[in-house]
Amino acid sequence: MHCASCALMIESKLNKLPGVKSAQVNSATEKATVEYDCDSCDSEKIIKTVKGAGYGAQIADEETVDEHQSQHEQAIKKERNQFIFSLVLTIPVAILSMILRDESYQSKLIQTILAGIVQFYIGSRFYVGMYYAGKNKTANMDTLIAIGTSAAYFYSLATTFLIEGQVFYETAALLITFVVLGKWLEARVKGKASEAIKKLLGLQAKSARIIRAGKEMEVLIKEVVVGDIVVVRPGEKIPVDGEVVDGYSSVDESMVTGESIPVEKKVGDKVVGATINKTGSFKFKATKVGKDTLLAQIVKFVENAQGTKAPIQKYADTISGYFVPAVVALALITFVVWYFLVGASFVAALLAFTAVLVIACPCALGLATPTAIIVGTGKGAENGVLIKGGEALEIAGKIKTVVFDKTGTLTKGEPVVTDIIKHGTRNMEQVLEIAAAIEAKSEHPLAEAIVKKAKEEKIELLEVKDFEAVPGHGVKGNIKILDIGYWILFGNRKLMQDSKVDIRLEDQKIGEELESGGKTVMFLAVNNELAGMIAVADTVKETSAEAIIELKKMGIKTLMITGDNKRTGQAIGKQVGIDEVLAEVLPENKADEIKKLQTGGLKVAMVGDGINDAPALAQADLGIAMGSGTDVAIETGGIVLVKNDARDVVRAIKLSRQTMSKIKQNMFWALFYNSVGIPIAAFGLLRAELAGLAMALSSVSVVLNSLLLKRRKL
Amino acid sequence: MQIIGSVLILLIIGLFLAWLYWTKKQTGASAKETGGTQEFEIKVKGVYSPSVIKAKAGRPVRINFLRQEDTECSRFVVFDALNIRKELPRDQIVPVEFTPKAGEYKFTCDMGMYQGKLVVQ
Repeated sequence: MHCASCALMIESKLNKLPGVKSAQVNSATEKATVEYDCDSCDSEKIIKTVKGAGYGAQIADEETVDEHQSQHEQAIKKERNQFIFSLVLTIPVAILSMILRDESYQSKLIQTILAGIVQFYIGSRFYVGMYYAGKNKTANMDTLIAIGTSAAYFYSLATTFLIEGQVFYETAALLITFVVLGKWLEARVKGKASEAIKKLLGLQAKSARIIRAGKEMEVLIKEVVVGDIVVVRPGEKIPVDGEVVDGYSSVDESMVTGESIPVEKKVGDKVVGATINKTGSFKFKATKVGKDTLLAQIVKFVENAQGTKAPIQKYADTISGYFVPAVVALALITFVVWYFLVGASFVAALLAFTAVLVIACPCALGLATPTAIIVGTGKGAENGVLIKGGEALEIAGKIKTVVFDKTGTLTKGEPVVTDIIKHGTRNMEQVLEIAAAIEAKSEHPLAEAIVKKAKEEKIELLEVKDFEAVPGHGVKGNIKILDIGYWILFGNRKLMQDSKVDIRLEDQKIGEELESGGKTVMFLAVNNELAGMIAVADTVKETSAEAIIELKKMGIKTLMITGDNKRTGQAIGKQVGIDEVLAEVLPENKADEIKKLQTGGLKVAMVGDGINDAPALAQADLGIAMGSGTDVAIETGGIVLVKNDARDVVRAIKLSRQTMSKIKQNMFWALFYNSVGIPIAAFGLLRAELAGLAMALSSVSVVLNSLLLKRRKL
Repeated sequence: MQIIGSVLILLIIGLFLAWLYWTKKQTGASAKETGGTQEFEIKVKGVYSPSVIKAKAGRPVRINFLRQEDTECSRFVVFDALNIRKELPRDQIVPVEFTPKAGEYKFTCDMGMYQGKLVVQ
């Protein structure tokens, strides 16, 4: 496309297409935006139309990251070239003035020219920046550099041609060289800091092999739609999220979850885009594509996090706003004090003025928290720990109490039936048959275990009428066996007591014994008489105990919250070594329990699955939502753990503490540097070019310090 | 000499205070209305210009940033209160869209050196 008229021509062709509501073509970006009716038009027709008009067209990428990347790399290269050019011109100036100390007219003339190129060619950007700032009636960093170097250069120019005195061309030239060096280094290290996102985006597969109309074909990843059957061969990347429909394999999900051991995948299992298929071949149905995939969501989450600032940064920003004009004022006062009040020479006053101008560096202050947050959240993402932003980081670093939800967090969340105890005339199979029938209507995780057991035993489920669930207690309903109706109660002791079902002492004892082993016991009553008991146990995850030990070592109190009765709760708590167990807490009361803990002024974190515990997660100072790798409720919680592993709670807190300590180091260094550097310069104790070097390196050092976070072990 | 010096120092302080007063008093540039959206164009070159913009509450705002320089400083624009951080590739218009409530929204570069604010009434 050559010009705006081409754009207009394409636009009018597109607008004439049936089904197109509006079409806009931008000649600068070479992009067309077309709004159309799906029924009567499609992207293929649109592309055809554009091609028919004599131009090429394709569906635009949603992410033009590569383009941005190469543009950024070019900018870095440009900075480097400017630095080298500046250095080449500055070295002779420095040799003439500092080593040879040649004060002849020829020497001065050479210096005027070389330093002049540095001042007005390399340094032109500072004048441009100063001009635009001035137009907005403010001052920026460019103002400082431009005034500082101009003072040195123009004074030297005067002493070369008009008046008696020393020349300071090297001050101006070295200053600009150092500042350009600083900018180059800064661009380089800042690129490193935000590498995590690039890495995540780089994980995306470029193409996918799909089956359409019975034919296998390779298409670009953006052309895959929900419902497509995707074929994955050994060693290939899985292109989008989906569900396995055929085949069996193991998949390396480490890039998304941080878990290094490959995960087995069989029919019905979920797979995540960007993970790598290891051994077998399989087919899967695409369920999420484009912006909806887990990877895309993680990228968005991390991007958002990196845009946040820690609350600690707020006052640094306030300082930055007034910094530059204040420094200009300070530098002018320095000059006046030296020249008019102390009576120093004009040269000494001018050099002190320049040094104050160029040493002040609010950049270091401004970079202190963003770079640490960018590196910290990026490192977290690589390890399956997603942190929502600066605020979550700051709170996570201060957590003193961690409350774990039991089911699915400390335990596997897959309860199994361990004991069936009959009572009275019914046999064990009948107890299971009745319990399974009524539980089939319930959505409770324990119910699932009983129904599963019945299926294993090949028991057919009876019909249930008048079903009612009593949250936190159990279920009720009517069933018919051989045309005789029975009133069924199935649930905990409380349900039995409320309905006045008598539980004899020996049955009580059996129940208590099972509970002391960490099992959940449910009672079955038929027509208000005890008919049996079923014990269900949820096994503790191997990693839970390890996580609790680590947290204790870090001085954090651990609690477990559960709907189970005290005995069961205590038994599980003991297995993982938790400090305290909050048992018999109804789901809706979990948030209140958190509130109670907070009244002591302690910062409380709540760890849950993010789906059932949303109110408790929101109530806690920090909500940590734990996913199961493929199913992450990514919107909940200040911290989201992709993997279902309690040790990641430890990692998240460690990472937050490390990041916060980096932020504090950076802030201290930046504040200390400015508060010490400016007086030193004002007292005339620092050569202006060295002040410039210090300024350039101060922001680089802050970024480098943040980068050190990458090396810390989690 | 000493008198001149003292007068100059007072003058410098006075000018600085005047600048402070002026920045506080800035009311900001108004929006261009396009189909109910309050639209702003902000050029990023040395500073954000204009650096103070004003909008009406409860109606969508679109701020089009156009960065015309290479310096690393201004590569990102951050709206802290809104968790927005956008890369501004050189010479490309990057829109930031949201519907604000009444109040002040600061936007800065990563380092806080480029500062601007949206005043919502």
